[in-house]
Amino acid sequence: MRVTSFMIYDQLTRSLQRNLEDLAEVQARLASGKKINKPSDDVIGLMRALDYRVSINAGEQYRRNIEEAEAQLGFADAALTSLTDSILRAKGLAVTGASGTLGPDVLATLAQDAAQIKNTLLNLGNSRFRDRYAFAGFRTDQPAFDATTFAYQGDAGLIQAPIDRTGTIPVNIPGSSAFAYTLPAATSASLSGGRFVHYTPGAGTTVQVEIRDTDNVTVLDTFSFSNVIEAVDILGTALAAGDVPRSEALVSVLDRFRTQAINAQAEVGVRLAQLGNQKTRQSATTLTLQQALSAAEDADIARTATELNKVETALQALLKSSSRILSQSLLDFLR
Amino acid sequence: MSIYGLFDIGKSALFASQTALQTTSSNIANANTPGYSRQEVVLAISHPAEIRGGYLGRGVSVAGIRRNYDSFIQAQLLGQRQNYGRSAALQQSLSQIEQVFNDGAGLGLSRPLAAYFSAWHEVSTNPEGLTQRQVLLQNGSALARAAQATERSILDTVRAANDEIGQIVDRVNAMAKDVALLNERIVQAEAGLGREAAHDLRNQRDAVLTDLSQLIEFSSFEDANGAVTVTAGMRNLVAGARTNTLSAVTNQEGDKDLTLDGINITPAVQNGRVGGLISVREDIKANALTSLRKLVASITREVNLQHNAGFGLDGSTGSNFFAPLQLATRDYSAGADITATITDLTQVTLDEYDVRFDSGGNYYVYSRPGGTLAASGVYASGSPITVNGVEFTITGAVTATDRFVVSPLENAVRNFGVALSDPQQVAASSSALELPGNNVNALALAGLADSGIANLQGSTFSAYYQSIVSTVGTQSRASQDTLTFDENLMAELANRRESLSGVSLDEEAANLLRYQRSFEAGARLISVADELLQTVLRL
Repeated sequence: MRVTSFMIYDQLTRSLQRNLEDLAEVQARLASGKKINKPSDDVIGLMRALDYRVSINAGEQYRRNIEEAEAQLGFADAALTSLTDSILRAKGLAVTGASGTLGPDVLATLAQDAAQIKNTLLNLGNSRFRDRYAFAGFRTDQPAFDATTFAYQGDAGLIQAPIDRTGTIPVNIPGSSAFAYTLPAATSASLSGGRFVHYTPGAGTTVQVEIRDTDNVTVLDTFSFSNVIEAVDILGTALAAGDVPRSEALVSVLDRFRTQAINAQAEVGVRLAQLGNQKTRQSATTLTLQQALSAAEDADIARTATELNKVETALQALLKSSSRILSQSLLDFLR
Repeated sequence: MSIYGLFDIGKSALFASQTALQTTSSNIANANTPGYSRQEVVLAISHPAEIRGGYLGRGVSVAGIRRNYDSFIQAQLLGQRQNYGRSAALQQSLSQIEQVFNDGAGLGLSRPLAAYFSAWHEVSTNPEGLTQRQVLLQNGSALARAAQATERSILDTVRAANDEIGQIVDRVNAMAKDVALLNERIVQAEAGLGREAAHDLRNQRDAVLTDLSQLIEFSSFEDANGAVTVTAGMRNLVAGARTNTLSAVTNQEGDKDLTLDGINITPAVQNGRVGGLISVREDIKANALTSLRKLVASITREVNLQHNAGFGLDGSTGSNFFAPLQLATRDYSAGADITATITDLTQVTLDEYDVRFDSGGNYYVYSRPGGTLAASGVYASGSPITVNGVEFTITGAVTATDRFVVSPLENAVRNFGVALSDPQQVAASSSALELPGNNVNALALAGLADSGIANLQGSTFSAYYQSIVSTVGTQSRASQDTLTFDENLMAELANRRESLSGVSLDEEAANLLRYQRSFEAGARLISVADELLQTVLRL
């Protein structure tokens, strides 16, 4: 083949161009630390990386949701602990009041205590977590319990937080299930002095109480309540009046309230444990995904640096050899 | 045979050497001229004189000057340069589009898309929080802005392609004129001398054709007089000394069509830079642009449908989160008009509709892509046609060539934006009675990110977006590979042409020396003849 000077120059420029392109690409990889700098570098790898990133982002969001749920449930947990303690104290008052051998001074003190506990319960029921009434179900913009009638104004709504792709967890306990219970069927019990007490379920969480005489027919006294605040309020009035049967009738009621509160707290505990597990699992998954993402898109620095060396060596060899070839000309030898 | 004969022989040697030296110098001077083909002097023995006892040589004559040229290689080179022009245009535009979707560099939609649905999560865990709602509205706007920026970049690339088509057309016309002029001069120069005589003009014409081949697809042939006919899209661009004007005409879609001599040749021009620009423009519009619009239209549709079902903090319901989808219509009819509205968003499939007519007064609605017949019937002016929740009303007289296109996609990105201004109206609740804590609708909206969307072939928003990126990346990769291949092939052909037609300075230097020596020898011959004559005269 006949070789002309143009061919040599052309060959040289194209080889130089190619080498410089390689050099620029390796440098881009080193500069960004990524082996995929544009989609066409590695389409499959990029798809994988995008997929991992979507999952990591979603995982991050679920982690935030879990932390939010933990904060709200932790708040409910603390409130429910106070609730159980307060109910226990109220029950103590009721038991004392039921003994029936107390002077008016003592009764007044007991009544005061009961009023105190009622206020505590009202505050607990209307406690707010970041501007949101925590025990009002969905009606988080208004107090859960009315300050004068103590009636429950919320609903039974459960606010669900997504904690993974398929699962949600309620982040609240409505007051209707923590501060009240639903009597499944009418029950009765005997009181001291041969009297009887009948508890019958009313609408919602309302419980009707009838205190009957020894014949179990004559109704001596009736009252009703639909939540623990109302019950403690009635207890306070009964203590102030020295009403022994009412106090006595309320002892088992307060027990039921306490069980209900403990159950609610247990429920919160279970949810918190579930959140803890989910969080651990989530961070493990995220870690795995991050490693996978790094493997998919991060440049292996040692390898890239080696590659840079290789490209540089090739470039130098090209420059050296071409400077020698290009200086060869017959014209230099003619004179 | 006299002594004077020696003078003649010496003269012929001098003349031949001088011609050869001139050719060599011309070669050296043009060593770097593009399109130049090396020339060579063809020497021949002069007709010998008959003497008693045999023939006597009468010197040398120049039989001609030959151009080292292979028309086959030249034709291949022209074809390959057309391929190269196409590949270069494709690669350039596709790598621009690819950058638009380069999520690695913080561009693209995957981040804003994820942030938008994350904001719904935040609203769902704090349904009464105004801050979260405000953030949601902002993330919605950010998503809209990112989508619009992406669309704008794509449209810019398409517009740049169209602009360049216009510029190329001007250059093609100028080159066509050059070819025609050279044709004329070559025909004049070679008249009576036979083919291939006007070397330098031919070299020039080859150079122009080589440049032209990178711009536009054409075929060329040479007639018996030496003129070259250049045809593009089966029409003559150059015929002899005449040219037809190529023009870039803006069509109804706002793109440039190529017309030659008034005839649209756009579909026939596949190669050359202009062919590449046309095909990459169509490709970008059909793939990246349409897919992006479809994604955005689908987000608008799904989010609005779900949002309509919910209730805001102020009890408002049935409100749109994003500005509602609007239909774009395109009218290819002189006598009739169309209006189209969405009557039932739940049924909208995000297909485009192509309404056509036959001469029997029937209409046919085809859905695109896919081309299936969605509806047909007897055309009556003003009576509405309903297809998949879209209602068309066409009024006026139609002909069989009339056509309408109705698209829910065309304006989807341009109109994309958050319609809500009051964060209270973000419909997180599924019930008007359970405000503000009910977050069921917010959960459903957050869940859209993970659900398969029927209009996107069952993929999620992010998976569909990834498929766009993957298509764009694959196309760009393929165009780079093709470009490298075409470049190498072109270099190989250029080398073959060079090998035959190129100037080697070493060779010319040797020739220079050789012809210099033979010139010296010729001169010496004359001086010897002169001495001989002197000797005779001194007798």
